[in-house]
Amino acid sequence: MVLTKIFVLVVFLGIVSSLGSAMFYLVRDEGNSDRTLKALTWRIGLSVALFASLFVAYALGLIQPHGITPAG
Amino acid sequence: MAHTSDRYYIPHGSPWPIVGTVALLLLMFGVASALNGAAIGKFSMLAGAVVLLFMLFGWFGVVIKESVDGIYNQQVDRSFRMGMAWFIASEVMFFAAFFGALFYARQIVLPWLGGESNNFFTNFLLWPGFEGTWPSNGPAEIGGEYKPMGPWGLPAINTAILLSSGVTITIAHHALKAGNRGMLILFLGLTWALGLLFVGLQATEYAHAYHDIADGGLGLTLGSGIYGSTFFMLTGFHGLHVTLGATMLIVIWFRCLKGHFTPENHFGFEGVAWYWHFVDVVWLGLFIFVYWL
Amino acid sequence: MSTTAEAHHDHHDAPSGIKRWIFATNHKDIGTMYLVFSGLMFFTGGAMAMIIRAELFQPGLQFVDPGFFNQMTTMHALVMVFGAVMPALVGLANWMVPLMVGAPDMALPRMNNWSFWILPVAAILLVSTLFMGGGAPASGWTMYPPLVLQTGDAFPFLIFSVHLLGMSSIMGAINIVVTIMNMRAPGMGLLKMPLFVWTWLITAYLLILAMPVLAGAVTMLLTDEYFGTSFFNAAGGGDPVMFQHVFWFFGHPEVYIMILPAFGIVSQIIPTFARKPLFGYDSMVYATASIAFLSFIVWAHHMFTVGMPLAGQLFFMFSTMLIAVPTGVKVFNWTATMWKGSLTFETPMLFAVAFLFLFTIGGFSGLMLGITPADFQYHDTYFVVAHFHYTLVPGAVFGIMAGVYFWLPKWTGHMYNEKLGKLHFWLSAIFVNVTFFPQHFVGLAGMPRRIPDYATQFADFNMISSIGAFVFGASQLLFVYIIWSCVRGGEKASTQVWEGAEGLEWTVPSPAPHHTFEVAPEVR
Repeated sequence: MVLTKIFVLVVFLGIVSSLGSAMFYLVRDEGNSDRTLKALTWRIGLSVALFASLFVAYALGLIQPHGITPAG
Repeated sequence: MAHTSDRYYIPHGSPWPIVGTVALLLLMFGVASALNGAAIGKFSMLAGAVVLLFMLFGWFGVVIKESVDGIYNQQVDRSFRMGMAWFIASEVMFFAAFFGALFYARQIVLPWLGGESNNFFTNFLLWPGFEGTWPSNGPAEIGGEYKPMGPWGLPAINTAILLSSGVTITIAHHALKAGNRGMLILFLGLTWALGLLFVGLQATEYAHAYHDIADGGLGLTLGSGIYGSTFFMLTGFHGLHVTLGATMLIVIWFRCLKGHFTPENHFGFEGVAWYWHFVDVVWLGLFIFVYWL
Repeated sequence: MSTTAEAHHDHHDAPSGIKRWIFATNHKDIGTMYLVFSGLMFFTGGAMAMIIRAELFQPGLQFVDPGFFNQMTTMHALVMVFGAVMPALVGLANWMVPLMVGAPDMALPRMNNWSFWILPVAAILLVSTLFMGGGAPASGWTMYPPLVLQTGDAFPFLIFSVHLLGMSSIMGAINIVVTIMNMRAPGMGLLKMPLFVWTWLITAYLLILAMPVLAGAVTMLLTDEYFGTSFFNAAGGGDPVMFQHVFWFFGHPEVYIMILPAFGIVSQIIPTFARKPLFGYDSMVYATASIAFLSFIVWAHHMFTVGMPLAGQLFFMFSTMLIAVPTGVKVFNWTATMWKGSLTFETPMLFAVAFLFLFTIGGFSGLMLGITPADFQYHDTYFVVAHFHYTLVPGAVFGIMAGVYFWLPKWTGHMYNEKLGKLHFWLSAIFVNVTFFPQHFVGLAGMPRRIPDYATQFADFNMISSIGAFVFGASQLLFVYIIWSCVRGGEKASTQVWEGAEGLEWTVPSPAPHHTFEVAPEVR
């Protein structure tokens, strides 16, 4: 459980930092390079992966939503 | 950028900011009076909202016209970019205040009310037997019985929708860079449609939450203690930002239809796209922290 | 280009009449409006201070009822912090930053207009609460719940006024950051910028990061009052102490927001009148940045007595002590700048030296308050009042006054009356101490703050303090007269104005023309 939560948090941090670097390139490159777009593509890819892995983790019993007691 | 000025463009006087100021005065006075139960409040609020819309149309209209006329040079473009970046930074801090409240309540307030740290007697004397677990509507069970919002069903579908809109805007972005207008318009249109769908589903979810348990709802309201407070405050402010972002996407979409952007010059697009990505990531954070962890 | 819509109406004429001001996009016009607004608020807040000191002149209740007294302390603080000090500093930034970095104007001129004009609206909402049912907010400017939730009709007006003030500050700050990062003349590298520009850059970052948090905090107050949320209600699983954490997460950076630009002003003035370059320029920049960083991790030292785990108390005590290091670097550097300089003491220099001396006293009493075990004794006494008034009045306000005297000739083209300026300085410097120094003593002896009445053993010091406040307040009328007569006329100011003055702002004529640096200057 704890490890799964840490995994989720680390991936989320990765998403936030790719978004942050996209902002940096947005200002720095003034739309003349692909770095903004590349960083944003990374961030959306990671997000989708995280969303999918939440499902997988739940199916494997690695994570429980808080406050919801498992059925049965 | 066929013709850009060599000088930094400085407008000589503009009526729009003062219109915006008047709008804010009417709006704020209206809301405050309405909260105090004064009859004038609603009218003032409505007038303020109308003037504010008028201002937004006017102000952005002028800026778009100046941009299309090629009055802005590279340096002005950079000012807009930096301004947008720091505006979003301030938005991040605004959300941080509410996320901070959520973390503080979960990690500190509830355990302490349950007697942890040096709070044994607080718990023993005030609320004996109260256990500080999450979710909670507090020792006095403010708001009565409720069920927490689980991540399955609408929230998961909404996450999928918002993430797809992140994918579509990225495709649109690629298309814009490649100069593929058809793809750009198609996928940008999809993006704002998905955004509006998200808002609609969120409203359905709220309605479901607000219904009493007896009626098949969750009995969960803004007044359901700290859980209801943080849940609706965070998702509500996020919903507001999605609405704003979708509106900006629609404006940008119309500008795309008019052919305002080129592969080299499209700050308007990039600014809005970045805002949309920001809103998207905030949702992901919400989904993780409010629904899961 | 010059072909299209940039209709070439004459660039060098200021538009006339009311339109010049309400449609203003010129940084000098907007800066002037900020400064005038700040002056009005300074006297509004000052009048409230006079009422407070009149009531405290003698023990017992003399003039006002206790409820109104509490309204006065609250409104005095809100008006002075958000109405007087911050707008004055933004006004100075508006005037001077583009001149100092060689920019033709602020980067986002229309937004600049908006950030100013929101201020009077916010002030109207705030000051109008004095006439509402239940009176003005009386909870102290910190707006702690649950007390603040007892405010009458004024409550939503207070909240929205804070929202508007926050919007204005954030937009002003974004404008300053963008101007500094994007509009510098060629050759004006970051480490060539005047220190006033540096301190404002860092202040603007603080504003962008801190003000939204305040907006969040007061939004939660609003929903707690009107929409049934339980953020600050322990029965619902919230905590009133949580408000204090969120508020001071904004509040501590806020106090540096008010002092860092004043540091910058003093860093311009001392080298000018010592006729020596600033000692340790780079270390000044790094010290300012360190203070700004530390300001985000010390907030709980305002609330040692609410109860927090020992580890928290220790962390916040030590991080607070750490701030003394960069501040010490600054004080040392200012002193070292004067060392062996050919000093002259015109009014701006007098204010700057008084700033250096008196702000340091405020810093020391801050260190005392930062020691957790000692703070339990000092908390919410007049010692705290003395401490922050030393940092804000002879600190921030003297810094602003020094800046006004320093740059007034550049703005108006006239020299101010030096004799009267010196008189104003000596009256201010002497009576600010008469006002606030005795408050240390009554505070240490246990007199609580925010009360209209007190035990008789505090009578003498309070009377001295009140007399000091009356003379200090009255002598500010002299300040207005000096500025007024300087605007009207006086000895012509040269381009350089001060013998030792260096920097781009002293290369444009006095008074500075409506538009400056339309073609970027070359910085060597």
